[in-house]
Amino acid sequence: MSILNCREINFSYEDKERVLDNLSLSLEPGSYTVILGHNGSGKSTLARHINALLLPDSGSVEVFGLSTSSEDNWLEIRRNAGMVFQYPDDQMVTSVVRDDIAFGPENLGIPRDEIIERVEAAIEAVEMQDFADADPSDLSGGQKQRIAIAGILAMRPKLIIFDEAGAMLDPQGRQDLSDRMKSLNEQGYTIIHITHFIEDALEASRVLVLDEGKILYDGSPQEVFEHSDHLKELGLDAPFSINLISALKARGIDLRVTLGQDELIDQLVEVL
Amino acid sequence: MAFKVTIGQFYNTKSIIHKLDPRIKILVSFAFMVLVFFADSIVLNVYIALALLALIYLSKVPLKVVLKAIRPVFFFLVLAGLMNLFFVQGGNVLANLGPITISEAGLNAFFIYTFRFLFLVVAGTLVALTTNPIQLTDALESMLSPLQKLGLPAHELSMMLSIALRFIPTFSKEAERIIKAQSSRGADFESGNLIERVKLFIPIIVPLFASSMRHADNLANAMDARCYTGGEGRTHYRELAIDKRDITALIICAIYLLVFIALKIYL
Repeated sequence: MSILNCREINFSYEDKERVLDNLSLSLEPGSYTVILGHNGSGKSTLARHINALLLPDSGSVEVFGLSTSSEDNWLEIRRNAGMVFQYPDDQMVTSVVRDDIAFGPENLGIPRDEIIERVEAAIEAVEMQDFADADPSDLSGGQKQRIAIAGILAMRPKLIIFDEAGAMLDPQGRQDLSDRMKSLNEQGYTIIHITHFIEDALEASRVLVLDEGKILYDGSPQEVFEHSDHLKELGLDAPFSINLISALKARGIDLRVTLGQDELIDQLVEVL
Repeated sequence: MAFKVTIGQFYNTKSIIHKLDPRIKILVSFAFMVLVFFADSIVLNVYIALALLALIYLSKVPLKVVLKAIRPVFFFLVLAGLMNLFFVQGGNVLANLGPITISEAGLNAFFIYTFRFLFLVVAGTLVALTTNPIQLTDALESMLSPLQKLGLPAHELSMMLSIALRFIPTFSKEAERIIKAQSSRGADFESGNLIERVKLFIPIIVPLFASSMRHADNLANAMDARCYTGGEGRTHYRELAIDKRDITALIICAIYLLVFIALKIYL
């Protein structure tokens, strides 16, 4: 059974051009899907349909078998489909890390003893024990995103949507975030990562490329990267190292994904 | 040019004052502020000052930090004091400086009002320094909740306050960034007369306002995504509970109040 079912959804923001154009999509539980697209391709709009922050003009979205068209389903959907946003600062509600993580469970009316348990577990899961009582505004962007993930984990969701969550981070921060997604996926969470960085797609089990509100490509990273010339035209240009790694991967040579040239050279030397 | 943020400036020393229930701190500080207005003699003012000094000592907040926190109102304090000194007339004339006459009543008012104002500011500052913003807003929600039956949105008010406090550092950082950006394009914030200087703030205020709209929009989305639906059915991670320490503090405050009344009547 799929956990997400979008059927022929159309959407436009107030009398402007169509942002989502007759889009259909379904996702398997436990999958790790990267949705790639340049600015304005409709990828963030699609993400917001998944947790009922936006509703389609026509067509239907079903998450965990619940339709987003009924307001009664929203809480259940949002509790099960957590979302980490692009701007780390704009998703912190309070001025203490612990309290911020507790915000979701508080909203759900979870008993206090269990909130305490969940908060501690979530802090541990993102390895932020040393900062549990810090003020989020004193943390780095990457640390803030880890707190945001903890805030979602404390709601005990099944699906986590990362909406350009790495866009404000430096390359190292983005790499850490990507590693974290992979490990969350291994723990059983279904992951959707919305991004315009093509290298984020390498670890995914499925890659979707979105353009003008339509799904252009859909498949494994290797399948999608075969169209790298077309992706380049769409402004989705992979760095050289990624092109090389994916080309080698297609020929059965498995290298660890890296953006650093030195590390790539070291790996190549080892293989040779 | 940096923006100094003094509101909600929490200074954690983990002292006994910090550990008191925030509701007690708020109530006592309000009662104390009222008391300040009844202190009309030197003895009573000394009595008030002693209490504040004792509280500062117990809070373990360095005196320097307290003074720094009240610095923004210092100018106003001096100005109000001088107004009293020069314009309140009565009693014997102490000095005659051309058109300005300093009278006994004026000198008296200078001391009483300047210190009264100082006491109020220090009392308020102490609450802010010893209570973290979350506790402060929790206390507000808890104290206002009886009025919820009358239609007062207690939870919403405290949530607004909490978010406002949370965004102060964000906005002050952003203001600084905008000032730097405008300066790098040749804007000069340091010279010109008052009106010119005020005009120069427009290129800071407008982008700041626009970005605050963006922040609000993003935050609303993030709160929706985390199932926020208002105060109803919400549980609390932090629990406010009155314990022995709070009762002891209240008893000490009551004794303090009785002594104040005695001093007021018999002196």
